[in-house]
Amino acid sequence: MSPHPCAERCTEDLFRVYDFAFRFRTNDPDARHCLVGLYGQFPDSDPTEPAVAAVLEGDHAGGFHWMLAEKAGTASELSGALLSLEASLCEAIIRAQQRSISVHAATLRSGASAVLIAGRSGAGKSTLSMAMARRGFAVASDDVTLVQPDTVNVLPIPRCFHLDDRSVALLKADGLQFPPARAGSSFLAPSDFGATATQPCRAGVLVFLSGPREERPRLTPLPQAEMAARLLQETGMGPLSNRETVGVLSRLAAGASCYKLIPGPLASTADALAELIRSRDRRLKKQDTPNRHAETT
Amino acid sequence: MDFLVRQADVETHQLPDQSVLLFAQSGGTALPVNESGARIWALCDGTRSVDDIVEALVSYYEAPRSEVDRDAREFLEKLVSHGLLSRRPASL
Repeated sequence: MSPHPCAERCTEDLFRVYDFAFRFRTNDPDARHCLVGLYGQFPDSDPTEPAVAAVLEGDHAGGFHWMLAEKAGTASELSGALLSLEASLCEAIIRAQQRSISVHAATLRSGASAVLIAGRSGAGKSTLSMAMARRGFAVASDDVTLVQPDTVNVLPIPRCFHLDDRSVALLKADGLQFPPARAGSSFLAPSDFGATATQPCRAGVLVFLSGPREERPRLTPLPQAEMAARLLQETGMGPLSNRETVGVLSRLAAGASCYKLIPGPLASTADALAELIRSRDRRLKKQDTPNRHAETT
Repeated sequence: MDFLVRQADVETHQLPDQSVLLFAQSGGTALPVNESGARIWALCDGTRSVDDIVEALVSYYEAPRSEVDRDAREFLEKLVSHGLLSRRPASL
């Protein structure tokens, strides 16, 4: 990629996401806003450590070029270039993992634990995650989540929400206020909705989102073994053997309440899920209070 | 009369809600089963015929024999078709 004529306006940031460090150069403030929002909350990288080069630049003709190591591409719009760069970054982050496995799941935070929403591509994980953000949940990831085998902690890989017109209409109908600074943008970072959470934690609730959409949402308990089997189908190639992966997913499901969610209209689906999570949190808090009282007396 | 034998490479993951995940390492099959399925799986220890297994279940469940017999045989067939169990003729 040849140097951009507006090189003086370029910014450069160093990020480290788990085991993957990269240096991101861009001349586009929106692109920088997006990546800082996604990866700026991770601990600072050591400036002396090797980092892969990542670039996203706009040209004078209105096109956008992106690059990550040996991968590169162009797009006519920023959102397209950003989507491709993010996908490559996500792949690189997963590949850099020495032990963790990747699961096709969104991650919300509720209290000290995480809520994973798993499901196939197109099942509605992103749109539901944003509707949950409107209901006060911190969304850490809407697509891929890592699971540490030893602790069974989950580690989100933040991605931008890339919204099509239908999703935007659904979310606006649900009452989502798009941040003024991002109005008109086709992508939003989780940080645009306030606090995000990338700290490792245990998953308290696992939800498998499975269509087709019905008139009313149906949220029903799912046996833990069935959840583990479904998660296995949503797990990418990783550093562990199939046998180890099944063991990890079984322990992940064993520590959580598992549900199947057949979606209905977005608002009622998100309301049902929010109520399920909040009632669980209330129950746990109630159980915890006598224990704390006993400890202090 | 056939006896049913578990494949040697099948791992059993018992979950706290009493469901069980059966995983065949060679074929990569992961089959979740409920508590009843787990009970049937436990009975497939190579010493019992299909009839013995049905008999054990009939004495456990308060359900009509015909119903238990049909459900158990269907489930055992499923385990065989997934490669988790194999049939061994009684004469061997």
